[in-house]
Amino acid sequence: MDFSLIFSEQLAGLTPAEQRQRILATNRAAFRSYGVSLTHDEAEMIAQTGREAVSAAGLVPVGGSIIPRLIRWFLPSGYLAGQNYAQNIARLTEAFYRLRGELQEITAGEPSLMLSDNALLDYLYRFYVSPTCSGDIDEMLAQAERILIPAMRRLLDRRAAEKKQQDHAAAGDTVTAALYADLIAQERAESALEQEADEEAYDYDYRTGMTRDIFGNYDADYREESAMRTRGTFAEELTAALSLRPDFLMPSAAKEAEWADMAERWAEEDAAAGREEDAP
Amino acid sequence: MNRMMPAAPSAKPIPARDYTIGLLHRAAAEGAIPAERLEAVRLALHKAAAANAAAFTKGRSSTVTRAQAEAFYRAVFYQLDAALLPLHSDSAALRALRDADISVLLENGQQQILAAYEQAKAAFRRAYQLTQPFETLFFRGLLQPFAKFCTQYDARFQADAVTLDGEYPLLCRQPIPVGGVLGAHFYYTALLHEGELLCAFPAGEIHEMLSAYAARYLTTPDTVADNLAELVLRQWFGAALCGAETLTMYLPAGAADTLNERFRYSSAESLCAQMQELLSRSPLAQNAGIMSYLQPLLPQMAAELERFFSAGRAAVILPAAALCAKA
Repeated sequence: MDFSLIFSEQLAGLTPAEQRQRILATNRAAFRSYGVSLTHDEAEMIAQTGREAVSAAGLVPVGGSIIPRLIRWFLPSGYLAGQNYAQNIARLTEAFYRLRGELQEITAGEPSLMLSDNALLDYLYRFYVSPTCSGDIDEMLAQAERILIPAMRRLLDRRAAEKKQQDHAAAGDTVTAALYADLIAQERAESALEQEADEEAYDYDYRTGMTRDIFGNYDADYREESAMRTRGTFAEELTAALSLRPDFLMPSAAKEAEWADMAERWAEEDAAAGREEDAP
Repeated sequence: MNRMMPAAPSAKPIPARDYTIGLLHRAAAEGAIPAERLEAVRLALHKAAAANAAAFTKGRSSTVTRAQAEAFYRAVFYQLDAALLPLHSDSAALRALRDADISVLLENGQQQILAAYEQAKAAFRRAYQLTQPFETLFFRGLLQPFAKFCTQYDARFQADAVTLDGEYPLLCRQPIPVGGVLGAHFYYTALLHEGELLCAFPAGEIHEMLSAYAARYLTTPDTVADNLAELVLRQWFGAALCGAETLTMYLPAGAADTLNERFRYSSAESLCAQMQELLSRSPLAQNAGIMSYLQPLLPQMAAELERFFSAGRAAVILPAAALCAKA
């Protein structure tokens, strides 16, 4: 019996058959709205691609498969449901895990800055549908890597700098500061929360405006009345916003909750569809 | 049930570091725990690591990095180490692994870890206060690692990850037997006992002894790299073996020669017995913590003193052989 730290390839996750089943369960929604569906072989191919992509990115699965959610997320794009439906899903899955691996690697020491799966899917989707990508998966990944990873590094640097500055400001009696570092940090965290709340209130209009731009319905930007405004592509706009405020990279809690509800609803719909198909 | 515990009395004790893994390997090799139970334990550990991972991502990510996943596993094993080590017996620990609910053991381990963490912090704070009057650069160097320990230690997801970066050795250069927060607890508690020991001696005399010791090496007392309690104890044993009856750093005149002559043909064991006797008659005997800390270290200290005394080099092992009370 092997009790070494060499663990199985997944900490908690689905069996290959379950993964395939969950992917196939998206067929009903995909066919009803977009007239596409996956065969068993295609679903198997996509699940296998996902497993390989996870492993290649140096990741270990701890939850369910992201693929059904990715399918539902990208279906409205208009680029996914074409002749290469299965191939597109497989390539998007690879892109997702590659970016997930890169981001998770750099934020390993700062779990509070871990972008959620939903946030990552949303970013990728917005790149994917933007006119500069128009469904080009390679370009989508290139833009995401070019913008999100440096932004995350800047955000990490900024957090580290802020912490250093706080430490420096607090450094009076170095012995007391070291001996009671935990209590001082606790106190500082409490006052930082208050300070953050003040800043948040002050900055509310600006922040909500920018957040709407980044996470809102991007298609609206291309309506006639908006097109008159001097705006760039999503990539340019995001780059500009993140260079001013790297913390905008992290979506708000409300946005996360909204995405979580949406993902849960999809999962329920797919599960119901799966049950109906299994029924005699 | 008892037939499943064939732990041979001659079995080598399992090292405290990676204790649970050692236990499981022994159990698997000797058949001390049935295979089905070992499989159940493996699954329970896997489940606990998965729960750690889920708690870490807060459900926001369906993946973690390989390094994080390994850390979750190590944390789970460390929780079991923390639950099983206090049993102080390999066979009792094997019994617990065989019979107890693993989730209860993990919970106990987590409680032990949190308690050890708080106790370790309190111990070092007190140790620092007690040692500060005599502190050296090396002792002061413990402050930054301690601040890190206070603020960056993660008892849930990286329970085993504690690095004691300081270069200040313990009395008799004791190794730290276990890693992680239990190791930190051992180290800081040892420093506390050493701090209490220093406080039992007249501070002025310790300063004089340290100055004389530093002067031998053409340096200043604050750059002394040795363990302070060890210097104090060597000096005091030198004085006490020559007849001093108080806790003093002052030696009678010609103490080095006296020690060389008296103990030239002594064995380490007989010297240890005398040191034991002196210790039990000294005011230090009133502090049970100090006594239980020093007892296991006496044979090693005696052996070192004996090596120098028998070679006629008492002046080398005594930190300040020429330090005598002024008339």
